[in-house]
Amino acid sequence: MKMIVITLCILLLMIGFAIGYQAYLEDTMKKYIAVVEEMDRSMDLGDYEAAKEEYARLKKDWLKSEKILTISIEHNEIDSIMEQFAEIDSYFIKNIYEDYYQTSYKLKLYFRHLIEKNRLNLETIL
Amino acid sequence: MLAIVVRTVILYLLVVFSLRFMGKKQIGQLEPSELAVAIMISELASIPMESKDIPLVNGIVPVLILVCCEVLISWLILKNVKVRKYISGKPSILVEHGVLQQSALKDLRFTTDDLLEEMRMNGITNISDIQYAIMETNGQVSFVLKKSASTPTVEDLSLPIQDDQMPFPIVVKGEIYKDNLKRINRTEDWLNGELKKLHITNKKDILLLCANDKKVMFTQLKEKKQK
Repeated sequence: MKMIVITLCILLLMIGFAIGYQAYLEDTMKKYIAVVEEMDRSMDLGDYEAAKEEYARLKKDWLKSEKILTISIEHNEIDSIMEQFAEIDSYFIKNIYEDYYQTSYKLKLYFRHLIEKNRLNLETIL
Repeated sequence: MLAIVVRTVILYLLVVFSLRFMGKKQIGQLEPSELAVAIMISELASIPMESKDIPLVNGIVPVLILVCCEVLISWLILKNVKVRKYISGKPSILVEHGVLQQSALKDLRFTTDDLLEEMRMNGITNISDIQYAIMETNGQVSFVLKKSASTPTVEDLSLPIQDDQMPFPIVVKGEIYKDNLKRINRTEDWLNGELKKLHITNKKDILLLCANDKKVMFTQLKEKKQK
């Protein structure tokens, strides 16, 4: 009986961890998508300084949450996001924003992809 | 590289813990589901072991979930006969009173050659000597011989024999196993007395000492101190 109780505790812990992690991932990615969209609006208005500030905030938050997200996200996905950050860094350093929207779109796509990939639905199960 | 070393150790400990948690059975005694789970556990553990890109948690969580499912299913099998029937199946009689059960052999896709092979591996040459041959749920075939073909027991020969208690290891590498001493209803004073009879002055010199409730059955000292 003790074994069954321990087993159920482990199972509930795993399920609880998975649900908690999924909730954290979704909230975090939605927050980042919102920040990238704010950056896009600032870029549309030509307010590069505001976009740069928002980007700095985004990158700081990302580097903090990356430590938690790497628990379950594959490294190549993290690397893809870091590549987009590196590109955006270069735009702000060089003040050349021609390809900014392409990079911002890719960044939002990667964030959305992380949500979809880890969500529990028929597609992810099959 | 160091990360791979650490990951390997973690996953190895996880696999050992998981198999230990699932219970003690040899490979040949595992039910089909248990064997499948054991193989899956080792495969799942090896994936993050060889690839640093895959998070460790992606190996740990599936292994733990599999172990938990296996333990819960085993418990259900223990508690419920119907669940046992559906998951483990039931034993099938292949030979009854020396007669081959052809429908059972056909259902199991078990040929007469396979049966003869199992018989030879069990030291049986004549089907007529078999009372029952049963295919167990783990795939092994067990044989019950007819009385006329069985080895006679002590009871058959009417010999007066008293059942002895099985010997237990009492001292292993100089350390006394107090639980086993209690099991044979003896004390350390008794042990010291027995050691004195064997001219052993120091327990630390003992490699292995086995005893039952009556006497010390086996003693061997550590090397270089062998008498």
